[in-house]
Amino acid sequence: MASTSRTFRSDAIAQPERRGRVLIAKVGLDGHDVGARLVARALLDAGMEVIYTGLRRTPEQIVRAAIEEDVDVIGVSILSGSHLAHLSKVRRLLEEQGASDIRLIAGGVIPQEDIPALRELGVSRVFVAGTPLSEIAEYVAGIVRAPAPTQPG
Amino acid sequence: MAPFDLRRIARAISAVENGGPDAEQVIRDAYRLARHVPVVGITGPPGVGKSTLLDGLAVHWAERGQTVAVLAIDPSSPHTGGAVLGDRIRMDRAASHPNVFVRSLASRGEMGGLASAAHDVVMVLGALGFDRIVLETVGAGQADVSVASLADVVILVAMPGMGDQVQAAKAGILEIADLYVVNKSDRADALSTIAHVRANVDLIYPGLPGRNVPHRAKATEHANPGLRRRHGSAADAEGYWRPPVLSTCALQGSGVSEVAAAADDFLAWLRETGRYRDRLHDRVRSQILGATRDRLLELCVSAAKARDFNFDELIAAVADGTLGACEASERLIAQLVPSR
Repeated sequence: MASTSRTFRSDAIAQPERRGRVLIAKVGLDGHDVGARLVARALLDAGMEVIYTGLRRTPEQIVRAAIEEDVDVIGVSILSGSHLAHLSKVRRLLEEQGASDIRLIAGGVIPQEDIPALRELGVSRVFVAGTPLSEIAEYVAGIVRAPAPTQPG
Repeated sequence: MAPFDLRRIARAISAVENGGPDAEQVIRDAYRLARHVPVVGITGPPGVGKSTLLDGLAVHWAERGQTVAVLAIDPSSPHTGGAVLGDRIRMDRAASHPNVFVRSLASRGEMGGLASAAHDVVMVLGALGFDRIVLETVGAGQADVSVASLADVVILVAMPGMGDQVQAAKAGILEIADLYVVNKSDRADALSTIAHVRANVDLIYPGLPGRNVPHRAKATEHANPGLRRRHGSAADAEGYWRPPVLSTCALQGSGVSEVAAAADDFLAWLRETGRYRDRLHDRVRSQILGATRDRLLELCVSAAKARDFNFDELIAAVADGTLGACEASERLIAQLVPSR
């Protein structure tokens, strides 16, 4: 905890600064969300507001939720092997709906050899199984602090 | 695709939530427009099915051609300010409907079941042209009654197995409902829960569920002035409202359209009896007082900071018994007085 010496716990009063908002999504036929919920928890602990979609969403539902919730980042968790198809669709829908500034990250069971293709289609970062939660939280916090769109890679 | 600009709406809400100069402009404009649309508030303990019922209600109104804004409030972490907002999961149908806009709000330190920006967000959504706002509170406890100061219709959701007649007779959240819903009515003990809630309503209101004409035989006034202001009493010439007790199985959609009809009937009754305006005034009053309280605290804190006031010392003094909490508060407030 931060030192409170001679300061107020003003965090308990008002929040003039912008809070990071993140959509954690599960897409397609994939019934495992322990990882997604762990990441959601880690982002909560880092002071972010996390909207969790629940299981088996379509790319359309995910993009609409991301826009309505005005998130900075969409984190898609995929363990089913269909990451290329689903993430390219999510990316395309974001562009079609004028929301390409919302950053897309992915995690789960994703083979190393697919990562370049995912980066190519606009996924900012891929976190493979075993990534420390703090690394994900730091990366997302970095996006929230500097939301200007940057080229992936 | 929705008939409205989702991004624009979403960003306006964020601006209001985050504060700052942009927000002030947006909020000022919204208040100037003064477009007060009906606000349906759904409250009740965690897990009773508020989100699922809301999903059905929002779709009910959306299918009748109305544009509906949904606000789903979940708690912020008291430690980090973060939140996990999960009400959307149960709002599949509403979230895919072209006439519905769904937004999750974190409470951001607000107590009482709402989010700190909820009043302002409601005004902005009205200004943006929605026909109706449906909001879900944080999973509520017995004293979480803030929704009564914001919603035009308060729907209190309960479920079977939540206690006996004595629980149903307590003060607090059970007194703010315009409409009671016992959800999960497929459960075996649903009927006794419905009976308990009805028995409690019987203690307070004569007559039949919903609108009642003046009741000569029982022409007594409500001893409870708050309830009288909300629902009238048997002695009033324009009649009175007795909160109906309905049952739903929201997951299967049964009973939902009856709840929607009762809520609409109550809204119509409010308008016919002039109470819609009373509620609006009550809402604005609580908003002004709340904003004043928040602003005064902010001013105290920044004045104290500017003077290098030692808050830790003050805390220690109260904890050690050398100072009372009220005196300490006076000292904090004294920071506002310009030093000579």
